[in-house]
Amino acid sequence: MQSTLLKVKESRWTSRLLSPIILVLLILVFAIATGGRFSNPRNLKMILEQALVVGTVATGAVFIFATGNVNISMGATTALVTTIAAKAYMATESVPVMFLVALVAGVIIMGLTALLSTWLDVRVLYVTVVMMTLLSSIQMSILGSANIQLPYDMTSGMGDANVPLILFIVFFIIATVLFHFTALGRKLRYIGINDVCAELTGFKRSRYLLIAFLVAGVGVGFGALSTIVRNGTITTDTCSTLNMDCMLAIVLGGMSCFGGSRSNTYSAIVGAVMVTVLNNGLLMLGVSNTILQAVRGVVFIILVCASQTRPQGLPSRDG
Amino acid sequence: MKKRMLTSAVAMLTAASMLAACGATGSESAAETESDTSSAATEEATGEEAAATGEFEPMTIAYATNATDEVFATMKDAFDNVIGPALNIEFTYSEPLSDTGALTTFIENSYAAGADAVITNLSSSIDQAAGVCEDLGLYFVGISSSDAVENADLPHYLSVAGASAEGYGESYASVIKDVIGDDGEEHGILILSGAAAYGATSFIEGTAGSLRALEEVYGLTYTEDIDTLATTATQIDAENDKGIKITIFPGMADLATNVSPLLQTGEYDVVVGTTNIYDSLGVAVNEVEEALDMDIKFITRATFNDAISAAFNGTDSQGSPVIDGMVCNGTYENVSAVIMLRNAFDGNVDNMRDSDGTCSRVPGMIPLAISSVEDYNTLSSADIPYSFVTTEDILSLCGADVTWQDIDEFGASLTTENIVAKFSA
Repeated sequence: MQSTLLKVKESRWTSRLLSPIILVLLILVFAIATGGRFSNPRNLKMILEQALVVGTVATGAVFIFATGNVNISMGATTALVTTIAAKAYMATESVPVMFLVALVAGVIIMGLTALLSTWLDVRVLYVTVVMMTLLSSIQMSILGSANIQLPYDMTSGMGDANVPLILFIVFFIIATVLFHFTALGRKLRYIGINDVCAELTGFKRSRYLLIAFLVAGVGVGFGALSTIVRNGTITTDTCSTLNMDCMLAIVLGGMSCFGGSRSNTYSAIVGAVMVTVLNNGLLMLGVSNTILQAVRGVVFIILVCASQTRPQGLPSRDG
Repeated sequence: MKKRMLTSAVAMLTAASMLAACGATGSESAAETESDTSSAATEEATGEEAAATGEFEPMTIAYATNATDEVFATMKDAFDNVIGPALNIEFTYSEPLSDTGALTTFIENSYAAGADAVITNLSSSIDQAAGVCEDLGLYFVGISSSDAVENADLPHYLSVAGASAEGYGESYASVIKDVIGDDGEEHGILILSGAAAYGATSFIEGTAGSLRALEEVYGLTYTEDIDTLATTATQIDAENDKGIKITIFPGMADLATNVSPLLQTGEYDVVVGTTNIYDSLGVAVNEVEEALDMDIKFITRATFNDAISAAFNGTDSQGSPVIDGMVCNGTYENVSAVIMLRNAFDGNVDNMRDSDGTCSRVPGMIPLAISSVEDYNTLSSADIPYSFVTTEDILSLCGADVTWQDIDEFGASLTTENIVAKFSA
């Protein structure tokens, strides 16, 4: 019996499924505590919609986190891309142009960030600290003394057509295939476990870091489009909490802060939904926002501590 | 192994925190009930009010705020303990929100939690929020100094309440005329335009109003357009035909460091802040006054609190008041929003909206212009109700015959002069 429990504890599936299981339990508890109001399909749809921007951007960020690096300019990048894409729409009134601009801008800015890190041989964290400030000031310069208010008909129309959900699903499928079913994902996780060993094996760190940033750039582009649909108004405060939300989502979703073999693409959306479930459910139970913030903070700190230890070992086909 | 145990602990903690929260809700509710009861007993609980309270169906209003500062705390206290019990309204509040996405999320979660109506003071997002409320069937009032741009025809979008940007301009002009208008001296004036460069309308109008007042006081003409000067993103001299030194300094960050060198030149003896500059610049101004042995007249935007009271009633090293004039944000907008939502919830929707089928615009009370310590002390007295509106006033503005114009007119009557006359009697 004891050995069976030990086996279950040490199984890869236990660590992989723990976060989704906690999420399901949370949903069940809230559904019971609110007499079924929480599990109302409309409420569940709202919860999913609330998580889509964070889920999309964080899914891309998983590629960077997997290599053991932390990019803290994801929010600033998304804010700038959102502003550029919104400007493009206001200039052309063309949704396809807005889509194209968002994708291209996201990929270019993230690519530049990766190149700065590898060319200058400076850790990603330090480069992204600088980039965060730089990108924010560029966004403020572009916005000038006015906010961008996009036509409500356009944003609500795209919202009704579930564009953010479609963007997330498309990106999630592509990311999952790349990350879990190709050599790229294994190599990124390997770099996350031990970058020196990976380099000696022949996996050039700078090359794979660039690829990781480019994929994350696509996520930023899609996330920016979802932000436009959801927000409608772009200000200097747009996406101001996105960076923190992405990191919170990834860690709550069961992924280690240090990347490596415990990296999964689903961590991002599981974590993002978990945050919105906590917000929504606690508010339904009448908990004030002050306490809600405290609960979120405590959970985040404990999960960060829980993910400090990295499993030692080489990557396998199943992670 | 340890890691998994920790993760299990987190799961347990999450569940425990929820249960704790459930408990907290119960006790909070009990405490609130108790508080409400005692509040009802001590607060003007006349028979007439009790009867009026009994007439209202219970409703819940979700208030989405952009800050949880002292102003918010004062409003929350009044809502929870006076206005809520009087109108049978329960309020829920957001954490400080900074963008439309977070506002949308709060509205959706409030709807799920049973809210009937929403108020927000996140002025950049009110039209989008109105759209979200319409989809969810929630009555909505936005608080802003600007008019609605979009969605004004949505049936649940009742009104945009809030002192118009022009009101800020008028109040600044009034204070400047009071402080420097009649001394016949030539001054060097430094105007801190705050977030005007980023499009904040109340800051733009505060700066523009100050420039217009100086134009009138000195009979001068600027070489550049006033709106261009007001929205400058860099420090600029407002050049004029009379050669009066007027400088506009934009930005709100680190004012003590950035503005002190300007003051130390000794060229400025009037400082006008379109935001609360007393907290960040009060000490720096005092140091310059002492060092240069000169009096600097200080005009700031602020709210009533202990620090401002001490400054208004105190004197600086030159024997002059520390604060010479003040523009105080109106709070009637919050009260008027609640009254309009109460009326709409009770079936009086049409009267809360404009007759042309769009949302109404209730500029109401303009920011208070205060330039004497006597007025300040009367207005900041502890006996004065929130927003200078008594419970009887609020109840008189609720009913089937009340229109948004009535609510607006009441707010417009709340001038410094009228309030002082009413409450000093």
